[in-house]
Amino acid sequence: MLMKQKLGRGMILMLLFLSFTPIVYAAGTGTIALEPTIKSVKAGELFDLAIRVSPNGESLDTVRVNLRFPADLLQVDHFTLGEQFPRISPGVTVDNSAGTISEGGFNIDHLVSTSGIFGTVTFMAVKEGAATIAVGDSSHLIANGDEKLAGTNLASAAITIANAAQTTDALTVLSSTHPNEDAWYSTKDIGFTWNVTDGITIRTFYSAFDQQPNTNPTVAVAANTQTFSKTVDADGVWYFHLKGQKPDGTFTEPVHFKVQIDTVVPNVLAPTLDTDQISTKGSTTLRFGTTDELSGVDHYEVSLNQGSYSVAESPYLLQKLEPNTYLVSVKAVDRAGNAIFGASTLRVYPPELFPGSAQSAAEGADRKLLIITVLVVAAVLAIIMWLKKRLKK
Amino acid sequence: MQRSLIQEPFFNRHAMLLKKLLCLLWNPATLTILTVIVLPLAVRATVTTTSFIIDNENNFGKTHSYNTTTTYTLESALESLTGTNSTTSYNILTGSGFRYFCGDGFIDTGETCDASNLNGATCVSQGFVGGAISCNSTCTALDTSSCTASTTAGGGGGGGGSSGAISTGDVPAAPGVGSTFTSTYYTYQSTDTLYGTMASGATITVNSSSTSVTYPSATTWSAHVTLSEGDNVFRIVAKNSAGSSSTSTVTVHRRYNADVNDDGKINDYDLSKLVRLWNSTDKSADFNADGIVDDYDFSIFVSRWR
Repeated sequence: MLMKQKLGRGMILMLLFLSFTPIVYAAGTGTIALEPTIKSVKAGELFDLAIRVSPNGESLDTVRVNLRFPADLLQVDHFTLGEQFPRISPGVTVDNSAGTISEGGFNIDHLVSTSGIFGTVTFMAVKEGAATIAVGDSSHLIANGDEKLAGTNLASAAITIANAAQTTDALTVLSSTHPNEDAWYSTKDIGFTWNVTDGITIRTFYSAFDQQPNTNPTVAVAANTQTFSKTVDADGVWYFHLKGQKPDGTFTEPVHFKVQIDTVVPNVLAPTLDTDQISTKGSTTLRFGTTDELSGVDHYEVSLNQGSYSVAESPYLLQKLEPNTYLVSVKAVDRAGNAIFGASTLRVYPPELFPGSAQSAAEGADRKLLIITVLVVAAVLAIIMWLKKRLKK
Repeated sequence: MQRSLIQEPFFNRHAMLLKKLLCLLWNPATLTILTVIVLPLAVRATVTTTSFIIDNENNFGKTHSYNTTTTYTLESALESLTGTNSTTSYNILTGSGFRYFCGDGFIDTGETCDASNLNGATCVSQGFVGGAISCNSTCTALDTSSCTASTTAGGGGGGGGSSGAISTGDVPAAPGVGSTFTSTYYTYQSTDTLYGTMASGATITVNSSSTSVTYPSATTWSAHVTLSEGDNVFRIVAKNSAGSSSTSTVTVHRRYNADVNDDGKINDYDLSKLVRLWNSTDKSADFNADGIVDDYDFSIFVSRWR
């Protein structure tokens, strides 16, 4: 009897436990992996971490990958979208203070059923230490609105960051065309120059130009040449790598100069108004948004009737406008300065002409008449009282 | 001691009256009356051969004018208008003279439709089975020449309305509501057009208003309505000339725009649905109701992301 009671209690406790266990949906078989899973880098170095999406039998259309990393050891430099999901989703964020990055993508051309690289995160190793980059549990692999991410065994990568040897920079690379390594540019013609630190002699320079952050340059350049120019054939993040060989045969530390190029305007911009007809006393909200696959949307600007553009954020309240028909234009500008335009029209009426306001206009007129009548009656009463008072005197 | 005017000498009486009249005029109440009523009447429109003042009370915007002998400039809210005047007529030199025009996309006074703005009308709402409806070149009427196979009862298969004529003593049949408006019907748009059938001779009000109600035929009605997000309940009343009435009710659900799966959130799951419906005509992802799911809908989706 006692045994049965104990078993019963046990069952209840088990049920209670199960009912409070967080529900983790494992609706599918898709997985997210990080490549490489183990990596050693030096402080100050850039390195790539690829995000691999494996559908494992699912037919995916949309992906969202959230990563966590120790912000004191690592910083996200940039994210490059792969070809598996070539369109970028809204809501992508990088927070180098909190140590999070959220990237999303989708594919409108075909369903994704084979393993591939969703994107590559390029990190900067900040200082010596051991860092773990982990896939967050709010990541998604989605097929037609249904979750297809398998289980809770989410991937991570272990990064060991060693102290960089204290060396004197022998070479300094500059670019007059693309001077800021963190900025995006819309010109594909790039020029570099470099200087050798005083007191150091270089016998031969070796250079490389590619899309890898840490390539060891091997193409020899004449020692009397200290310029390099290139016209890139594709947008993206490019690197110029340079090292020098000293007379004693030893090499300087390679220098890697980053150039970011985006010549494509953001995607279609279709601003909408919550209502396109208002009275001068009313207001409406303008909503706008788009995406940009490479550099990302930097900001939006709004203009009324082809006037000057001013920076604005969505949602944007339009109010206190004079009667008119307005062309409300919105410009989305990416980080390289490429812009796309969209527009919507707004009609602003005087209150008495606002469509459907005939009744209210009539009511307004009635109210006006009532006020005037009350004023007149009050005035007449005041006069009568005043006269009565005077007559009494 | 009480004083009486009758007891005053004649001269004194008139002097007193004059004094009282002056006091009356100088009284604040009198001045108020003069300011509120008399002055505005005094400055109302006058037109002479060489000068005029345009009364802007019923005009669009704050139209005002000034003129020099025979030329004038009108400055209005939408466009300025210049011209010459001769006695009582004028010739426009520049400016169309219209504050709104056919083709601007807005349905203004005297317009039934304007360009692609059909005030929500469809072939079905106009009593046809299908086809393409458009606006005529003067914006005064819908062009239904490309609509197909008009139904006999009209209204696209309304739900129970009678198309028969009624006498004034009869209670009219409950107005029929278009078959589109089922319990699963929804829209993303802020306006919609209700339509249906009715007994011949009846008049229709929608939520007690007849402002937006039109009658494509003697036995059909249609009404352009504004929608709030969520369920919008419309009470459609058919009334005959004797005042007898009957009522139908229709509920139109307006979804939050871009919420493809209608769960109150705009997130990756909605995006996934949108992606699957790309290049389709499915209205659940056709946020701008242009008949195709494409980048324009994606832009609207992005603007609603939350």
